[in-house]
Amino acid sequence: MHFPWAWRGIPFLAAGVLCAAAAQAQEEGWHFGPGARISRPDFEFRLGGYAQEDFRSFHDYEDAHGQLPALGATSELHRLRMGFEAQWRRLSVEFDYDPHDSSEHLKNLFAEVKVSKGLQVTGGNMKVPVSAEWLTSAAKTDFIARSLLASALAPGRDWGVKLSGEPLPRLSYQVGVFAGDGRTDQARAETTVAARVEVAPVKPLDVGLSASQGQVKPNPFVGDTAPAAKGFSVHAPSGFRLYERHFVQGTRRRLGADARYHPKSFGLKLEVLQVKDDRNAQGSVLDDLPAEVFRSWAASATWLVTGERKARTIKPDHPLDHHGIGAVEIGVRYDWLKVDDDGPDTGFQGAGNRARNIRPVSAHMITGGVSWWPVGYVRFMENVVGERYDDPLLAPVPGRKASYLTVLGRLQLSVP
Amino acid sequence: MRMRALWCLVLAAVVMGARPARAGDPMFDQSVLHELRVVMDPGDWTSLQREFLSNQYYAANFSLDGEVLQQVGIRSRGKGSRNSTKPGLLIDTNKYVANQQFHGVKKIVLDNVVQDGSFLHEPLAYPVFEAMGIASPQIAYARVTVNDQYWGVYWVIENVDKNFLAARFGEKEGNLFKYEYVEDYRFADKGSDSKAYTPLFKGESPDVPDYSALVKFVQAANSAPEAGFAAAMAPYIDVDRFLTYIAVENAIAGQDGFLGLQGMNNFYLYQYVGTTKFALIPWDQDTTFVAADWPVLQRVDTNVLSSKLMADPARKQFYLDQVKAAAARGMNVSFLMPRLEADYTVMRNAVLIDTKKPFTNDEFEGAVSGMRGVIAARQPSIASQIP
Repeated sequence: MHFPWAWRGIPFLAAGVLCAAAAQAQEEGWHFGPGARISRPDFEFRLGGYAQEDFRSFHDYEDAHGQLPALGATSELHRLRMGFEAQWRRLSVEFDYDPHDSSEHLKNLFAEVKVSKGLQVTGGNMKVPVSAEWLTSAAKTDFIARSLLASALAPGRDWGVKLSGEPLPRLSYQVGVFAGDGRTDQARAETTVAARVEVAPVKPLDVGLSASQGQVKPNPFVGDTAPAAKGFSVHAPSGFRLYERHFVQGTRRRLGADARYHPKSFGLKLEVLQVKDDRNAQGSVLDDLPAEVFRSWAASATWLVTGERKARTIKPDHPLDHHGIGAVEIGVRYDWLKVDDDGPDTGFQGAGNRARNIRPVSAHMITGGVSWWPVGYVRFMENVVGERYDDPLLAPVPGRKASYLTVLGRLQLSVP
Repeated sequence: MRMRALWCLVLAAVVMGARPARAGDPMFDQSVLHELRVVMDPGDWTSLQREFLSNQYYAANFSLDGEVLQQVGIRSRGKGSRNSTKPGLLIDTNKYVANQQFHGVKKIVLDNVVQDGSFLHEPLAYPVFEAMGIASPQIAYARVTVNDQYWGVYWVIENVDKNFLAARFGEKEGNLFKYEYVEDYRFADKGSDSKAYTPLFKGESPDVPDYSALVKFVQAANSAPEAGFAAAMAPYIDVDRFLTYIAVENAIAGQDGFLGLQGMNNFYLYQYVGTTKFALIPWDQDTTFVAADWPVLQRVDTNVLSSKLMADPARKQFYLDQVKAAAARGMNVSFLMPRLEADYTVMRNAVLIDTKKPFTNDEFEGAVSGMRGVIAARQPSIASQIP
């Protein structure tokens, strides 16, 4: 969605006011107003939020008419998050809202009761705990575009109940039952159980294992109108749709693993995710088709060249407003995704959404990027993404496997 | 001053008129029987046949005369001709592969020819339209195999889309509507809400066509009095061209066209860029050449547009002149008979072994003979009806 510049400036201005007010408020103790925090011994309330303005320079392969389309450029307000966190004794509440996201205004709305360190009970609309990257706030990811596995395959937010905690040192868990695996997602499965365990065998290494299982029911026919398919579609950072939704029905299983190693200023991450969607009775004459299987992994390395410690939230040691240069991080990520079916590789391989023998699709993405935090609540990002497709026929330009470049930029303002 | 007016007329004709010249692509060469092969999952092909009413696409590899395209989309097509035994097919070359085209074409229509026992109606109808300056789709015969099994003789028809518009009208960004038969409709006013017209005039391009001029056109046709009706329609149609169009329909004895037996059918409506003016494009002409003695004024009084235009004696005379012109230029033995014999030679043997066709071979041969009779007798019949 594109807003006129004048309109787009308003939320940024508001975010700026919030940031500035909150930055000032940090120095004191008890505050009201934008970005305010109320802090008492048994009660705490904090406003939060961030805004992201994204710039993208890319070839619009989806809109090409028989020739390599011209390089286009867009800018858009990508996210405008606002909300609060409140805590009273053992009860906490979190609410996040994005008035800009027409597909899902409500982000998080949940209440959590801390029974003990080893047991917290959470209920509401929240992220289904599977992918480590997806569980990371969009304001704190290392790169502008999430990895393919997080953006296309990880479950989204949904209503549910979750148990979580740290029953042992270096061990945490999350397990929950959810109404689905993405409240507003066209590919939404119904009741989904998800679990995630994290261990830290040695510092600073974290290892996570995750799984989810849900049932996908196909959309019904409305009159003679064919229903929309409920499988996953995959879009590359360039916007090119590299895989179309297929018709699926039955069990959806996710199995994931991830590791994060973050010594001092360095961050190394590896994440693997497999999703298997049954296609029961999804042949055009209601015959069973072999399951659709997505496999994806992403590995990344980052380095805070200004020496700050790698953490979820980066705070510059020498911010610009204290005569420093802020924090600068460089990074690179490799992303791979493949889709195929788990049936015998015989007969005609088709790209159709009811194909018995799915023509395999696989893609590689390499992302290089730099982030700069002049102060803690302002972040500039610049990424370059190179895409490569293994099947030249199903590439943005048929016959050309590589290299498709997209340049991304982001300005982010956060309430500290 | 006269020269200026003449130049204006010429310029207007160039701008507003269709370009009847055919692109002449080898894939639509009517003088050969094309070899069209489809390779796809046998299960998908079975599904396509069984669910022939569905527009579900399947992936397939396709070749025409040995030229191969991979991973095209293929689906069942047609209205009354939808059929499980011999499905009509639509091939979409870039359904799955970005920007894939075949000779500059993105969609190829494979008509199953189940409503014309002679296999000749449509291939002979379009040349008559073209002879009268009405832009028409190209058409050719193809022997179709699916997974190496012979599936019969099909017509390969040029899809009416932006490529067609660019080639024939020199522009392609106007609103293109395909008339969809859903009821007995004869251009009656259905109110000012465009939603009343969308089931009848299916927007083909752009993605969100603008119906406003079309609605005004229909409403103006219904509200304008017979006196001065042609002038009232001038902002919306080239009146002479419209009369020529329906004159050709009746000259070739078409029973399911703009003046169809059960209401309007089988045409596209194109609105020129930046104007409110529309042009008609013929489609699905397989129920033509119905009878040699077909009345030349058949049903002209049943449609709002044609009946009001014909109320003007001068317009009616122009229409009759155009019927005669169609007979002189196209609907006659010297124009059509060589084409018929050439087409018959091209497709006869393939039709005889086409076991999917809903006609016996005797019926086929009889229908071809019947066509010869209609063509031979039609021009004299027109001459007798319009002395």
